[in-house]
Amino acid sequence: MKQQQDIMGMPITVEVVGRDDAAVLIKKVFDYFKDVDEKFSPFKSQSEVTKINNGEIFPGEYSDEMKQVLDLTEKTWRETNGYFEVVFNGQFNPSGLVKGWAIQNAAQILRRAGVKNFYINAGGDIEVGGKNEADQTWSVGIRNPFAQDKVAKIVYTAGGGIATSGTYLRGEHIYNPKNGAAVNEIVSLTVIGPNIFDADRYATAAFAMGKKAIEFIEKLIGFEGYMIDTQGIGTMTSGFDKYSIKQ
Amino acid sequence: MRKLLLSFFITGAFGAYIVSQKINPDKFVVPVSVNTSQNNANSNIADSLPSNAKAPTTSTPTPAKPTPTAVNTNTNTRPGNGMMNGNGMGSGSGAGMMNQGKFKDGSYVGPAADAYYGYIQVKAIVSGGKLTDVQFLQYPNDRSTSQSINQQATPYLRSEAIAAQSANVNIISGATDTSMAFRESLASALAQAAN
Repeated sequence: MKQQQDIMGMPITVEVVGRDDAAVLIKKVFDYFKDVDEKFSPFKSQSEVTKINNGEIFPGEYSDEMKQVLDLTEKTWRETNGYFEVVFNGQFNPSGLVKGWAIQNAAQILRRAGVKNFYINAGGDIEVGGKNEADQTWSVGIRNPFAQDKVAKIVYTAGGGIATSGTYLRGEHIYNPKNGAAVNEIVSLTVIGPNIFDADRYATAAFAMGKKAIEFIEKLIGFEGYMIDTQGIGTMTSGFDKYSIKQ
Repeated sequence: MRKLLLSFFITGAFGAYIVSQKINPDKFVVPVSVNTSQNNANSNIADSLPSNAKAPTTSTPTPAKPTPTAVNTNTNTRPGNGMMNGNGMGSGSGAGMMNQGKFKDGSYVGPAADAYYGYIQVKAIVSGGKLTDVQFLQYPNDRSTSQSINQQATPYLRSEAIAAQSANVNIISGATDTSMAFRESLASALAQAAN
């Protein structure tokens, strides 16, 4: 069974294969994402993130989940040489990390319920487990940034996370409004790893490194990547091939 | 120690944020301003918009044109959001009345659309009745880059021209959420420009 809902400002699709209670399980996953949104959305006036930004609550009062996210933020900041930022325009916004963390936790809800064959796709970042309804390894298309209805590359995985960081393709018309500089190096970076939380945070941080992104992913053990530049050239890490073959 | 530093950082951020909130309490204000277009020659987005997307083929690594997903003012806009902000504001220049295109000349600012990672807001520039440029006024900065890099090749990485194959797969991975916000903001800007 496959269902989709718009939560956290993005389409979230959940498929659970071969379970009579799929509808109940999928609802649990959607409810979890809604809870995360209530707590971490920087756009909701009553969220914990907003209260932190407004100075309404202080570190001693943070929820356990917020403390966990802050710890993970600090860890990621350290591991990516400061490329992972959670303060923008003076405003604390951990959304870049929370998304992958939430997908990971949602996948745990399914696994703890004994679900083996599933995927959760939240705005293009995915955690998969097992096989699809046809008993094949899940096939995941990397969106072609130049033609949104086409696929630039297909990868096959029996479990783990796939995250893509990207930007719009408008060639030289993409600007970074913070410094007025054109963003013209890469348009898409896909990272495949053992879980979506790590794949997503590395994809987000590495994307900001421009063409160095793929070298950063190459150095990570257990992760592979596919980077697409503005010229339509895809560059892959040395071990990427193992995901290109249908298993 | 890191935690301490992070705490200071975030605490400092509250202060800065509160001050900025006082100065500019409403992020959602849509600053619609219509100017006669000055901006003609520096882009040709209009040329690519009505045509089909030209994605790179597997054999020729040529730059592809953008996908024309944003042209229609009545598509890809979330219900209840956005379209109305510029109604009545889109009075173009005198020259705009004469043109043959579907939009009045001028520049039109769409609302800041929520991309979750931040806001996306675009300005559409219409010249000769066609969309000639799209400028980003706001863009979520956690996924954009200001880093300068050393572009040396690395031998263990392989490159290829990307494919543009049909999406016959179980799942699609891509940066869709921000694109949605882009289309939303642009659609609203173009709604103002529509004749």
